[in-house]
Amino acid sequence: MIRVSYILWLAFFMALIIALFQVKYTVQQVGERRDATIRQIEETKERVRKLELEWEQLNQPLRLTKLSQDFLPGFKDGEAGAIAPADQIPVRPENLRPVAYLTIEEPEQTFTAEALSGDESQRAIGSLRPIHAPDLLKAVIAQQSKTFSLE
Amino acid sequence: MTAYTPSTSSHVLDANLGQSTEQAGLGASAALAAGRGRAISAFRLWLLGLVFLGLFAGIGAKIVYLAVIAEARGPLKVIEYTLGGPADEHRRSRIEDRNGRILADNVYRAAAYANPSKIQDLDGTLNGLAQIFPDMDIEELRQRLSDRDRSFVYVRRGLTPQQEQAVWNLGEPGLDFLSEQHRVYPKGNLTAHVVGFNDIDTAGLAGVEAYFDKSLQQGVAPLQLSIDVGIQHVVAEELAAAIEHFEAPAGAAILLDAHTSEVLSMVSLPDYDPYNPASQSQAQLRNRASYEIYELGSVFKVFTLAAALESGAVRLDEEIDVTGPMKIGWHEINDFHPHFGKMDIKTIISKSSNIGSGRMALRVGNRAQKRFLGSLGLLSSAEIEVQEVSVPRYPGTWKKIQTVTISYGHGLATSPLQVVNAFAAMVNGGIYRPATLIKRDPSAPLLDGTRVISTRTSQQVREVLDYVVREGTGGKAGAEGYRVGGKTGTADKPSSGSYNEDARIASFLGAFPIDDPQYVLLVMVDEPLPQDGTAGYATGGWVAAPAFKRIVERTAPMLGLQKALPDPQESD
Repeated sequence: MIRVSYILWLAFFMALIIALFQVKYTVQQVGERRDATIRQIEETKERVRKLELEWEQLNQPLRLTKLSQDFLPGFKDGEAGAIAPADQIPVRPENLRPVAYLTIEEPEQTFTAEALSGDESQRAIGSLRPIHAPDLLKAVIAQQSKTFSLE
Repeated sequence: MTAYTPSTSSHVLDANLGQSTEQAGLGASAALAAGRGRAISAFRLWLLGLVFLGLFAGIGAKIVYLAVIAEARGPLKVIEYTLGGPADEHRRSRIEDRNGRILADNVYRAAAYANPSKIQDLDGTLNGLAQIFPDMDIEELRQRLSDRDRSFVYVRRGLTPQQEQAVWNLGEPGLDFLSEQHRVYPKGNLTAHVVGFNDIDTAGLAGVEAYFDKSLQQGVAPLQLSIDVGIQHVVAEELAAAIEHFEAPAGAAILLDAHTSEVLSMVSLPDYDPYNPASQSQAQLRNRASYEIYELGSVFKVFTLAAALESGAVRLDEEIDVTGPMKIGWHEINDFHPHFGKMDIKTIISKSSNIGSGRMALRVGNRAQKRFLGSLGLLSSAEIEVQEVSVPRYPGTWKKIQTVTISYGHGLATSPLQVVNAFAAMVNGGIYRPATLIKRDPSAPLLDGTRVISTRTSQQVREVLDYVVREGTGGKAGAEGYRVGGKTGTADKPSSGSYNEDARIASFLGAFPIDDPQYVLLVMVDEPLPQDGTAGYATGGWVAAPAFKRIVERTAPMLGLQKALPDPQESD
């Protein structure tokens, strides 16, 4: 009886040793994965930080003003009447059609603008104007390639 | 002495028991003893088993706790610690504008360094570095790298990834890299005088960077300023246009929230490149908004008017004799455009009469005038969160003549920021709150501030300022679609103990919308020159008022101000 119990105990301890061995190496692996994930997160955060800074650099008011002057001649500063309470804004006519829209063409991934033919009086209702997105985009890309890069 | 006796038994106790059995010579006793021995052994084995069981049960329970219960409660503490603040502990805090636009931030960039004792091919390395960094002083580097006693020599800091790769490709074992923090200012010159700059080890040397250096070094939450980058751009652009048009060397403009005293824009031109301050001129580095002090001239008449109305020295419907010259001792005070006879208070301010202002100040008295200006913070250094502040300059003896000259802005030199801060209290209902560059929590109640004039006096001051733009010297400040009020200022600059009539400060200090002021703005141009179309003048009304007008027209929609309703007085 005692010998059986010894064997059982031995088996129990063996099982425990194997289990602990497994747990130890599993924990080690998980730890390594965690460390790698943390490193990856830190690297991604750093990359995001740099991208945010590049975005801020690209959005310098002076640069945007120049781009707007060069490529969006219809755009101008807000005027005194631009801000009004919601109840004073006229209701949009039901038959008003957009005067421009942007599409993304596959596979070149470039923007194109297509001005819809429409009634001039309708165009005047909104401040929208047809815009030449390909030119704008080319200019933006050209400008970006010249811009100081942190990456 | 009892000697230890070896036994076949595995334990001393068994041996002792064996000895006693031998001594007794009884078989029954021996069997009993053997049974007890086995029982004790079994007991020990069970005890040992229970101890191990307890230990492993404890470990198992902890594993279950961590894997099931603690996991359900949230991430493990160790991971939380690593991903949270402590990892960024040594990164200098970001600085943002009031809308979260980044004004300054740190990124990690490589720095190349050399260990001269380990360099194997000095000439090859220097040639390679010369190609990667064409601007590098190679001979100077050769000298430093030739010193074999040194083990650390910086080659170049703040490398781009391409440069880092190129240095790496040289394959020189004596070269290595460090990862260092590098301060980036995405808005460049635009916010340089506010944000300031750091040295190469990211220690703040100017502006907010220097003022908050310690807390920024701790790397906690981003520091959010009250500045609005969009507004700052408009103000800078219009001020630059005025400076260029009037061939002036410099200028400053400040836009303040009239109630909270938050600085939305603080521009000093010329400005500088925060990445390279050492190569900038002194003129560029001087902060004309908060550090330089000026005698700003007639804009001070607003404070004289408020003090006179508040103290009861004058009534708004009263008339004062402005016939010149006004004599104080051997001094003579004259008006730019001489007037004769009596003039009402509104006209004294709108025509900017020095004599009328001087007479009002004399009625207030020198002590009351000094006390009043002191309560507006005009006699002590500004409490603004930049390194660059200075102490106002005013006469040690404040007598009758000083009372008169200070009433129209001569003899007391303060920073433009202090003047616009004091002006906010004149139009906001009479509460003075120190100007701040830190964004206020919009949900928090307003600071109490200090009441310096009554709401009634403030209302009367607004009436007069409205009149100045409608009928007086500030006509060119009248913005399209918005009601503005303000005061022009044209001051001769002090020079060698007297005043130089050829070097002037032209300014306009105003509020909008004047019927319920939300913002106050000061535009100041240093030494403007008369131009074609300005009738030979380079006064505040000709130089600064038009810039003020354009800034209001462009910024008011950005600030969410609605177009003014038609004025009932105009339609009558």
